[in-house]
Amino acid sequence: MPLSFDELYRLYATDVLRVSYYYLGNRTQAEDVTQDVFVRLITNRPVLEPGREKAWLLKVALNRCRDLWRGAWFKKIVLGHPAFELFPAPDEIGPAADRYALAEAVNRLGPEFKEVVLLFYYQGFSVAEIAEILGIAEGTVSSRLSRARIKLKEELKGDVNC
Amino acid sequence: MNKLENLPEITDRALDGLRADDVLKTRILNAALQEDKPSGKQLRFIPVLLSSVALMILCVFLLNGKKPFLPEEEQHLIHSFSAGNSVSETIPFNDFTGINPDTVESMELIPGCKLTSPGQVIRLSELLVSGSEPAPDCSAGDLKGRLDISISSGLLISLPAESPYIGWSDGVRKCEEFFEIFKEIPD
Repeated sequence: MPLSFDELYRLYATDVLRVSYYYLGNRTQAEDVTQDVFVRLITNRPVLEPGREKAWLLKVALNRCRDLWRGAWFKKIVLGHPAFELFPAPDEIGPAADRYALAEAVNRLGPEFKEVVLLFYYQGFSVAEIAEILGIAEGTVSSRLSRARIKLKEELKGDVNC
Repeated sequence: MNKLENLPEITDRALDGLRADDVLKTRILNAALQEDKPSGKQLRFIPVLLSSVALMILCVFLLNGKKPFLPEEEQHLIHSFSAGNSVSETIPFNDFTGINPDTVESMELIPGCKLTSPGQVIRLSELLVSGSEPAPDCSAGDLKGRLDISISSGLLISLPAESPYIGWSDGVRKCEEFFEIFKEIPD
């Protein structure tokens, strides 16, 4: 039996919100994306295979995030890289800063790397599932994951275990 | 701690306060109700359509060396920021999505200088686009100040400029370069 909107919202809305936030670095925009995703769920009434609901929701969310990120011209001017507003300040020292260094490094990855890292390591999808969500080949997902790991190692000066 | 396998734990802890709550749920349900109305569906396409039209007209005017003037698009595109005129507000830096460049009357970098004609704003955009670099690897910095953008309706958008980088479409400039370009725009 298909899950209701209420159930889907309760189960997955926070994941959609956090992945969007991770992608965009902006709470307002992440909430807007989450709204768009669930409005589409209500209005389009897609037939979702049981167990694949989250993948569909994140696929729509990432498409929307990508649209926002790739926006053209001056309308999408960005003053600086979108830094996490909810994470500790970059100059914070001590264990908290160490803990969040990896998350910040992931945030600084290019969108094509960030989305595979988020889906694989944060949301726990398999390479095959990610390939389907993003509409790319499994080999491309693996390659992006590998390159992302290299970038993260460089970023964190080798202080990352993958 | 820097294991990618720990990313869920790290992120969930950091973003513990970020939850899809009942307020957002209500907002979604209200938006879905609006979507069901025909006018709501039409409105979804207006910003995209108008942005495309505005860009095309801007290109035509640029090729002809004339000042673009698009009052109708301006009214729709700034609607998402303000329901009325003469409103001053601070918005997040990457909420630039609704601004029609043709409606920008002035840009003032504070502390810095001010662009007051559409031609200057267009020139600034050309210079930024022409020399921009790939964006992904830029990092945050500590520049203080703000960028005020005045829209022809009277809306003033005030943006914090707290990074040494300014992105432009898919490119990025160091903020000091942006300052230099900004200052070099002829009156």
